[in-house]
Amino acid sequence: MNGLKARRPRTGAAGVLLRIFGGVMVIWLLAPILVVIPLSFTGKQSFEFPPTTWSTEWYHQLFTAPEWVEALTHSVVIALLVVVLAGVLGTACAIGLDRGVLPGKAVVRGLVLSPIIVPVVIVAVGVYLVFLPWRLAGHELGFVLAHTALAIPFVVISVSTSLAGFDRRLEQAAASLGASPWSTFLRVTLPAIGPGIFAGAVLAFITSFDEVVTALFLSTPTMKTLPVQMFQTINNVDPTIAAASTLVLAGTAAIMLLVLIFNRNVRSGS
Amino acid sequence: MITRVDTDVEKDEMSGSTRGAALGLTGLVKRYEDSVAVDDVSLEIPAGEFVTLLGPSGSGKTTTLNMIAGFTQADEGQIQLDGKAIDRVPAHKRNIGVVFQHYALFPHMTVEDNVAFPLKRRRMAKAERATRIDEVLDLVRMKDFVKRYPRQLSGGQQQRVALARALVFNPRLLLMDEPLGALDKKLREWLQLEFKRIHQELGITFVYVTHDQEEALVLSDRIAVFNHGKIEQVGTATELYERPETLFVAEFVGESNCFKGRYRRDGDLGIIASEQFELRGPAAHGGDDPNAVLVVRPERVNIRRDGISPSNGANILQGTVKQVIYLGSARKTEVVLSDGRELVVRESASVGTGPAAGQPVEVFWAPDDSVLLTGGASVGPDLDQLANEVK
Ligand SMILES: Nc1ncnc2c1ncn2[C@@H]1O[C@H](COP(=O)(O)OP(=O)(O)O)[C@@H](O)[C@H]1O
Ligand SMILES: [Mg+2]
Repeated sequence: MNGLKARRPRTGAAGVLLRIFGGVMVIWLLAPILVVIPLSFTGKQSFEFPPTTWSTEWYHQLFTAPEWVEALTHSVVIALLVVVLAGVLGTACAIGLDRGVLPGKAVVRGLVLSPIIVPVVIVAVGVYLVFLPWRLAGHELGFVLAHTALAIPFVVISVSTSLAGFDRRLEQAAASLGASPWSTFLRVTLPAIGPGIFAGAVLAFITSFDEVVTALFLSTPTMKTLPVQMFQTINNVDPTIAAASTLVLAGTAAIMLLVLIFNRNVRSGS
Repeated sequence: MITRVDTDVEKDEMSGSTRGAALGLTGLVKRYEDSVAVDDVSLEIPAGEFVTLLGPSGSGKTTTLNMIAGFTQADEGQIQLDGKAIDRVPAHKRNIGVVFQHYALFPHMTVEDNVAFPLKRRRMAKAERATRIDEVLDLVRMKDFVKRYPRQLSGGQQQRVALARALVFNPRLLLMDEPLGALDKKLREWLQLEFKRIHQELGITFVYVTHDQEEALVLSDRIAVFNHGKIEQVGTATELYERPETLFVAEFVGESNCFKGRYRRDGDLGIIASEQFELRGPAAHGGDDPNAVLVVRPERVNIRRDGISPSNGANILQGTVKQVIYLGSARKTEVVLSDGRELVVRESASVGTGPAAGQPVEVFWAPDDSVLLTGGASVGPDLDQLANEVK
């Protein structure tokens, strides 16, 4: 996310070709996603495309039907808790890996990043088997812990990148000016790696909000997240699923926009 | 722990009375896995002095400075500030100002906030803080830039802000690690004068690190020459230049002509001899030494011509002029001696016209104008290392 930079548009034949190619790619990638938007405004209880009649009934459903409201609430609460937990742990971990003098740092780094590589299904089975006797399956805390493990690697990678570009002499300078190590961390290190932590937190939120595999294992009829609810209603021909998709889409787009604006402000320093 | 700075004391300081702290380094040693970065360094710096640690890259200057600042823990030895050991005091409680080569300004803070940082850590009241920031930015002539961010300033401006930030809390000792290293020559020369002025105005102790001998000569009351983690010699610019105690100092500080040979004593004089020459100089401290060096500075050597001729007992050598270089007020003549060795003569340009390239000449100097080094002092600088430093 730090790598997003505004480039000057290219000109000439190559530029035109590039734009056409880019346009095609965008349509190809976005079309299946964008289908859900008109579908969510359909007037009939069917997945007929394009819709012939229109209504906002499915949004009404989404925000009033208890199973949808609960799923949405669970998802948001869980994702926010994951942001806090993965944000703190991931940042601490990245700092430890950057500064720590303990031997076997490479092993620790590998372990922490492993959830990215290990197939999610395997993680999900493992988590399920452990959480079941601990009574964490079907419990909000269980979702939070599982999603935190999945989200931490993104925070660690993002914060590590920020730390790599951080000049340690700023911390020496702060110390020489009378700042205690804690004060130095809060006032000098944290602001410098803030964009990295923010980017990591956004990724953590999306990781959790979007996660369906471990959530499927851990969910019960009364405790499910939005993706699980969507997954389980797909066979019922219920366009509420399209409304939920559109909502997630809008939410994600809003977050990405926020990140872009934030990064621009960080760069221009205002 | 954090004490409120007393305003009365401040005014006193700003009026320029001597308020420096004396610094004492005793037997400092710092080892890394496979090397000794600082090897038994001892140095007494009286209050208010401007001392420069001069030496090639890797000679242990930064490590020494870091130990004084408290960024690095010494393995052995002691550091005293005004007679009190500070080895166990953490960096943030030492009250020592530090200026870094790459400024180390906080990028997310304006000039004003950077300079306010140490005052806020000391919980100084807002009004008092504003006055103090004003004063110190005035001192470094950066008053017009308070609202700027560091990246909106040039290197020289950033370094002046960094200096203001390091001085604003009235430290009694200021450490500077190659503060001009990243700046161009013009700016460097101007800032050197600024440093000197500020040192005189504040009267606090300055410990300055550089690998640039000219900078050291311009700035310092005294210079400590570092080599391989050790101090080779401590002295004023004149002492180092006129009476270098080691070949390293002779070659690192200023230009020099060196003649290696066997040393023996001859009354009040010492004689250094090889197959090609026999030269006299002031007697050295030790006894006979097969590996001795005679050092003579270029401006102590004369070229024989009408009105300029050697007196009795002078060292005289024959050679041919290789080239003549004009340096404004001075003239440098490079002479190839009869044995192929090169020698440099530096004369004031006002001393008539000299011989031209290709002409045979006779060069000479009085024994007292040279220095004889014996007993291990004649180990020269590591030339590879120097090549990286002397530009
Ligand atoms: N953190 C460190 N780890 C290992 N070696 C170091 C470290 N810091 C400095 N050194 C070594 O110590 C020696 C002195 O370094 P330094 O004090 O930075 O020299 P200078 O400032 O004179 O250039 C060098 O050989 C350098 O490689
Ligand atoms: Mg250094």
